[in-house]
Parts: sequence; structure tokens; C-alpha cells
Amino acid sequence: MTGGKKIKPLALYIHIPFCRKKCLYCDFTSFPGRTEDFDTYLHALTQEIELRLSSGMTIASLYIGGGTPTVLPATALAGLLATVRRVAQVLPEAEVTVEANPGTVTEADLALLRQAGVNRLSLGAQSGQDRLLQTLGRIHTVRQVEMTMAAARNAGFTNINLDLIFGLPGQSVAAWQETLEWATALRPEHLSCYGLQVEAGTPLAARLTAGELTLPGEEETSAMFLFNTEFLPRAGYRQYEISNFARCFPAEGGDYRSRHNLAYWRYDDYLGLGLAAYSGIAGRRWVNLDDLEQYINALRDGRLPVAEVEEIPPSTAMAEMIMLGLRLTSGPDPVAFEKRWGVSLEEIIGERAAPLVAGGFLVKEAGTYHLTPRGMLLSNQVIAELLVPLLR
Amino acid sequence: MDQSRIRNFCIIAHIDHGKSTLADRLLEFTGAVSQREMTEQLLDSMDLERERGITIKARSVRLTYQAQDGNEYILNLIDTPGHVDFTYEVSRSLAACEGALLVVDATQGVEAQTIANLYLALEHDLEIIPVINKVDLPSADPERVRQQIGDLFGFDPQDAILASAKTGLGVQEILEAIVQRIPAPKGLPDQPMQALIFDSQYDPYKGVVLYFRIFQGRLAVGDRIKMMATGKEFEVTELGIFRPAMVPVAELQSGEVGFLAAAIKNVQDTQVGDTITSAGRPADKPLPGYRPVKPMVYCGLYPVDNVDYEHLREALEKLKLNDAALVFEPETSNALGFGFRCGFLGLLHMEIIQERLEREYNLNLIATAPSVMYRVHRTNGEILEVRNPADFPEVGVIDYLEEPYVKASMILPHDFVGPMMELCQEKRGVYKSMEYLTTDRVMLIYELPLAEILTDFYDKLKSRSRGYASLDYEYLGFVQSDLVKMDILLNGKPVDALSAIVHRDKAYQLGRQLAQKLRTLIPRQLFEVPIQAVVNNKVIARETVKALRKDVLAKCYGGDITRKRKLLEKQKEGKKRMKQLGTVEVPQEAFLAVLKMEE
Repeated sequence: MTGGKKIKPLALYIHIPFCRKKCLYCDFTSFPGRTEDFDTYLHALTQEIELRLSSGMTIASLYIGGGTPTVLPATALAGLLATVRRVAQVLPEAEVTVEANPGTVTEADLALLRQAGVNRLSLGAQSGQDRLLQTLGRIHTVRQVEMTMAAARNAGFTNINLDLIFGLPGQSVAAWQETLEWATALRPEHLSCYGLQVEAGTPLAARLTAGELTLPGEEETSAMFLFNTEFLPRAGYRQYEISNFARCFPAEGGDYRSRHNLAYWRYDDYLGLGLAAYSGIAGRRWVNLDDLEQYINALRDGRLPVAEVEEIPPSTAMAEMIMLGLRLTSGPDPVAFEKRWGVSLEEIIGERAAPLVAGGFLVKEAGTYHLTPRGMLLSNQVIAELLVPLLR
Repeated sequence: MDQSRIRNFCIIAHIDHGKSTLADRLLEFTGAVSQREMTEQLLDSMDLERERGITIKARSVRLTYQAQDGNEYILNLIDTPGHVDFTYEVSRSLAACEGALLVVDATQGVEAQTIANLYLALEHDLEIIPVINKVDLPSADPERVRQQIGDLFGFDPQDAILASAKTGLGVQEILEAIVQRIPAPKGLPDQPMQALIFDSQYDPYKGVVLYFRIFQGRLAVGDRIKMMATGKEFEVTELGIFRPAMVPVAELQSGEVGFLAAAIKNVQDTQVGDTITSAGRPADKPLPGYRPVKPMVYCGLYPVDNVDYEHLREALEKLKLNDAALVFEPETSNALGFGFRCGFLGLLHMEIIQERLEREYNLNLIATAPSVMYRVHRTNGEILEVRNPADFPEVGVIDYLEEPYVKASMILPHDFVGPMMELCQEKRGVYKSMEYLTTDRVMLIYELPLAEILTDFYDKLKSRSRGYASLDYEYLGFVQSDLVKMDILLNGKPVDALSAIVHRDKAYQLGRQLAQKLRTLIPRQLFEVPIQAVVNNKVIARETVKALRKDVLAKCYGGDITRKRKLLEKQKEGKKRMKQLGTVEVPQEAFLAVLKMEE
């Protein structure tokens, strides 16, 4: 990564491992409170940016995620962006996203971020019902989501995503439909609708095990997902990935799909900076240290804070490219696949795909395969079935 | 060696009545091993034997005992296998003795196996010394057991010795009784040599080592010997006795027990029960009672992963070196690929072999449900022996069928006679007799198809008698039966490894139970899996494994692609433990479903 050498534009991720209060379902690396650590962390992060980036590098998308990045002062986030721009070339048309939680940002903060070049805001709305927000241990109300949304518009944001979660304990199909109606009425450009995943070791898992909470059944959760795929397109949001929907009318000049996330699904290279961040570049994947002190010490000593490096052998990389590509409603890009591996996608999965096409899980189209809504419900099974020969 | 100072004996007992512990005490008392060397239950040397508390191989040990009459005696204890699967092996060990200790648990009384083995011992004219063991336990009722032995077997109740193998009580009295009551061997040392093989063991350096008892004549290192049943000849390279370690000697003679090695490569050449004689001066006839080993139970063994086929073959060959009763031949299944049809003496023998293959040879196996050998009489008069239900001929060419029957003896408290008779009836049993052994214990005799005993008979016998009933059975022969072949179809395709032979009257019920059991054993998958049970092209039962509806709609964790991929890899691991039949993934247990059907 020395200067002068032309490399492909990168997707850059920056992790802010702080939040105000940990949500009950969260197993990300994030520390509630710890305001006293902000400065040392930002200092270390700045050092990592300087070590990793160089003037020859161009950045096509930048995503600041967490945790809740906006627990940091907006000026600090703006400072990070300035550092990135100073060290590398952020393309003028680059997508620059910051994750924010309703209730953690004022209109003034948002205006400052907008001025600093942030052009996309991702808000953790999660639910349109206060009762369910409480179940999740969120720190905001439905009303605060609406207010933050309005503030962001006033601050000049024209590309806003709302994160929503379905399949919550105590959530009925009707309640989820209400949430979607509420969310679409706010007219965000992008909606991420994730199925709740209960991670071991989280307070939510404990409460479920204790029987204090009950998840909706398989049929209900399936109905919620299928409702997404029917309702959202009617409301003007195109599904482009299993969990992601965007206003996308390229003919009219509007395509609000997340370019940063598309980079992951297309198996493009990405660089992650900050505590516990992942990177994948040129057949190699690594993860940063997830211990705050170790991370800070490494950078103080001028060392890269890498915890673990994995070399991805070609057959595994091929499997990963298919695995990720199948999350997209367009499927893996057959041209990019063949260009990269010198063998056609059809040759690799055609035979195993045939019964899955016949079974209504996959559609074969335009030289590639994509999942049907039924296939998306069973994506792990379908993808495992396809990739058995390539997996270890 | 003066034959009048030799006593050859064995111990007869029901499982858990303390046979091995008593043997240990005898070894200790006579100084064959010091207390320090004593590992619990010395004679059971296989790990599996210790774990299961049963004896699989026969052992022997020579004890030297200074009797109260002032003379020193040689006592050869020949241990016997303790399970119904090995009845023939037991009979050969008994045949090598002049007497037997009949050990009965003072808390439990006489059990089915005790009686069966006692009858065997009486057939061989053995002098019986009743020993009532575990008299030290609070729940012991030695006087009742003493009475029972007297009533049942016609012994003088006062002849029974009260003992505790645990505390050592009665051990000396037992040793004295062995010397005084058991007759000395009678064969003549200068007659042509005759020795009975009662067990063998494969040793990678010495070849097959034979355990034998000489009935007449002498045997020395360098002698040329001949196996009278197989006709094979060998030269004795090593001769010895067990103390219990193997100690070489130059010569053994009439009445003595020992081992020999003679560069014998194949355990089949030297079968248990065969007579060893001198090649130069052969005996004119063999000792009575020899019978070639005959498997009673068959099952298919297949590697889960086909690449392990050769490994499985080698493992079976190695086990066979030590086990003349194990037979196997290659077979092919459309469902399971390449494997072996294996024959065993019984269910326990089968389980032991499977366990050893998995444990000692690290094989991941699929076993098909055990079955018996059926005799198919074809319309053209030909008789087929069918060991695998999948090999059954078409219905049109079958005249009639025969299946093996056994005579089953069950001993149980009389309260359970009703439930036990019901069980035997369900299992197509034919009532033979019922006899009160004491006022509250009954011996029930039924003739039963062996195939019925192979499924869940023993478990049900135990559960319906709250564990009090004991079972023993002996082979009777083939009996004509109204049998049909039941095929199982998964997703419309027959799975040969799931075919079963069942009685016509029970086909409908079994088909339904089997289909239901399979539904619970086969996991839900992408496609729904119809399960059908079919007899004579007619569907008699139908079940469906519903298709999966959804799995976790995981999001991609900010670039943690490895984690996502590992999930898929884990899924693949799960798939590897299943057998892929077309689009259906079938877990190993499903092939034993027929054994696990609930009532």
C-alpha cells in the first residue's frame, strides 16, 4: 500500500465502539459510557488512519458505524473525516454514511456533519412501537425517531436510512405491518429490515431462556419477512438485498442503494479501521484487536492493531463471493465472477442449483442465480446446499 | 504331575452375581497374585469387558493350593463367557472341567442364566458346588436361597457354602470343597493325545494362541499336532500355563490346562471345540461336542464416508483374527453404497464388534437393523438362505418361508406373569410351560421367533417386570412362518437398507410405527420428505417430514464474512454425518429406527 501505486477505490469502514447504553440484543464491540476514553481512542484511530491510508488511495465509500458514532461530539466525527481526506483521496461522489441513534443528535450536530461532507445518515429506528423499543432496551422513543428524521431533513440530509427489526418478542404480524406503514410514511430513502437474531450471552437471550419473553413463531416471522417483499415495493422501495430496500429509479436519477454495503455483497475489497474492525483486501482478511487498551497501546507503539489474519484460499473465496452475491436480488455478478476466477459461475454451481431452481428456491436469470422470497427465508440452507463442494 | 492332585473347575453365575470378584479372591487367597498386583476383576482383560461387567473371552488360570490334608493341589480355574450369545463357548469351557462352582446372589436368588448354565454343566456331568454369595449384604436372605437351590436342583441345601467374595468370607471353604468334592481328571498319559480347544487369542508375534485342556496323552514343544475337525497340522513352538501371566513349560500332560502357539495364522483353522491330537499318533476319534460356529444375527455395516470402505475391511479382518464367530462378506446397497453384511453370535456380539470398530479403528459407521437368516423355499424347490431383507426374491417365486426360532426361558416374580405372557404373545411366542420355582418365582418357557428377540424384546421384558425378569434362550431351528417384506420409500424411492421382514399380521401396525419413527428421526429440510411403508406394492402407511419454513435471516456483520462462512461450514459438517439419498438427508439413527419404535 505504498504511495504512487494505483489501486481500486476502496470501501472504508471506521468503527466507533461507544454507545450510551447497550441494547439488550447487542453483541457488537461497544462500550457504554466510557466518555473518558473518547480522546485516547480518537487519537489512536487517527494514528491508524495515517498508518493505513496513503495519498495514492481513493475511497469510494466511507461508513462510520458502531456502537453509536454520534455519542462522540459532531466535531470529533468531522475531525476524523478531515483526517481521512487529508491522508487519502475521497472521491467527490463518494457515499459518506454515519450511523446515528435517535435522541443522540441535535439538528445543529447534524448540520455540522452534513457540512463536514456526510451525505448519508443511517438511523437506528428499530420499531414504530414504544413498547417494543423498551423490550429491545433502546434509549429512544418513536416520537424521537420522527423528530431526528425531521432534524436531519432540516440539516440538509437527502439520503436517510432507517434500520428496523422484525421478529421481536411480543411482536405480532400486524404490529410489524404497522411499523412498516409508519416508517414508509416518514419517507426515508432507504430501509433495512433485519430479522432479530438472538445472540448467545446477550441479556435478551437470558430473558428468552428464562421464559420472560417469547419470540414469535416460525410462521409469523416468515409472514413478516414475506410482507416486506410485497409491501415495500408497493410503497416505492425496491428490494435489492435480503434485508435491504431502497428508493431506486435510476431512470429518474435516483438510486439510493447503499454503495458501501453493496461493496461487501459484491465481494469488493474493504478496509476497516478502529477497534475490532474487519478488513478484506486481495484474498486476505484480518480483524483488529477488540481490547480497547491493547488497541491503543499497539498504535502508541506504532504497530498495526491486527489481532488475526486469515488467508482466503481461492475455493473459499469463490464460495464467499457466491454466498454474499446471493444476498442480492440480482444474484452474484456472473461477469465479475468469471473475470476474477477464470471459470463461469454456471460451471461452479449449475449442477447443484438445478434441483433448487426446480424446488422454487432459486431463479436462473441473466447468466446467474438469485433467491426467490421463499429461498431468502431459507438462504442459509440453500447457500450451504449450493456450496458444499467448495466449503471446508 | 500326578493327576490326582489336579482339579479343573469353572464358575457358573448370572451377570452381577459376583463371579469375577470371587475369581479374584481365589487368585488372591492362593497367592497367584498379590493384593498389590490386583486390579479389579483380573480375568476380564478387555476394556469393554470391564466396562460392561461381562466376560466375553474365556480365560484360565492355574492356582496352587496347600490343602488341609497336607497336600499341594493344582486348581485350574477356567473362566466362562457370561452371556447367552456365547452359549456354545460356555459349553466348551464346561467340557474342559470336572466341576463347577454355582454362584447365586444371596439377595436375588436364582436367575434364568444360572439355570441355563447349570443345565449345561449337568449335561457335562460336572460336580456342582453351590455357593451363596454376597451374604454380607443387609438384604441377603441366604436361608431362602439355600432352600431355593435345594428345591430347584435337588441339592442338599447343607452342601451350599455361604460366602462373600467382597470380604473373603468362605473362600477357604470353597477351595477345600473343590479339592474334596470335584473328581480328579482320569485320562491316561500314555494314550494318543486328545486336547479340547476352549478358546483362542490372536497374538501378532506368536500367531493364534490356543487355550486347551488335555484329556489324554502328553504334549511337548516341538510336537507335530493336528486339528481333528479342520485337518490342519502345525508344530508346537511354545507351550505354557497361566499363573495368570503366561509361563512357558516344556511339556503338559493328561488333565492339565495350558496354552500353545504353533505359528497358526488363521483363527479359522483352530476352532473352539475342536480336538488337538498328535499328527504322528492321532487319536481314533475327536472329543465329543464340536460344532462349527454359526452366526445367528446379521446386519449391514457401512462407512458413512465411502472412502473408509477399505479401512473398514482391514478393521474387520483384524477383528476376525481373534474372533472365529465373526463372519462378513461385501455387499452393496443402493442407499448406503459399499459395505459388509456381517454375521454375529447374537446382539451383544454385534454391539461389541460395532463398538470396537468405532473405538479402536475410529470408523464412523452406519449399521442397518439386525436381522436373522431366513430360508426361502422357492416354487422350483430351490432353497435360498437370505441374510439381508433387501435380497428377498419376488413374491411370485416364493413357495413358503422359514425363520429361526428359539426356546426362551424367563424367570420372574409371579406378579409379572400376566404382562410377560402378553409380551410373548405380542412377539408371536408359543407358550410351552410354566413352572413355580418357589412360591413366588416362576419359570416361563416360550418358543419365540429369534427375529422378535432382536428388536426390543429384552428392553420390554425388563420394563414390564420392573427389572426383575431374567432371560435365557437357546436355538431351536427353522419354523415355517407367514412373512412379508416391508419396503420403506423416502421421497418415492425405495431405500433398501430400511427394508424389513415382518409377520403378515403385524405388517400394518409395524409399518405405521416405523413411518412415524422415521418422521421424528429425519430432520426437516428444504424439501418435504414423504415416507411410505409398502408391502407387496401396496402402501400401508404414509407420513411426511414437512419442509423447513425459514432459517435465520442473518445480516452481514460489518465485514465479518468469516463468521458467516463458518456458519455454512458448520452446516456442512452436519450434512457430513447424514447419508444423502437423492435429495433427502438421512441421519445414521434412522437406519436403526425399527429398533426404536415405541409401543
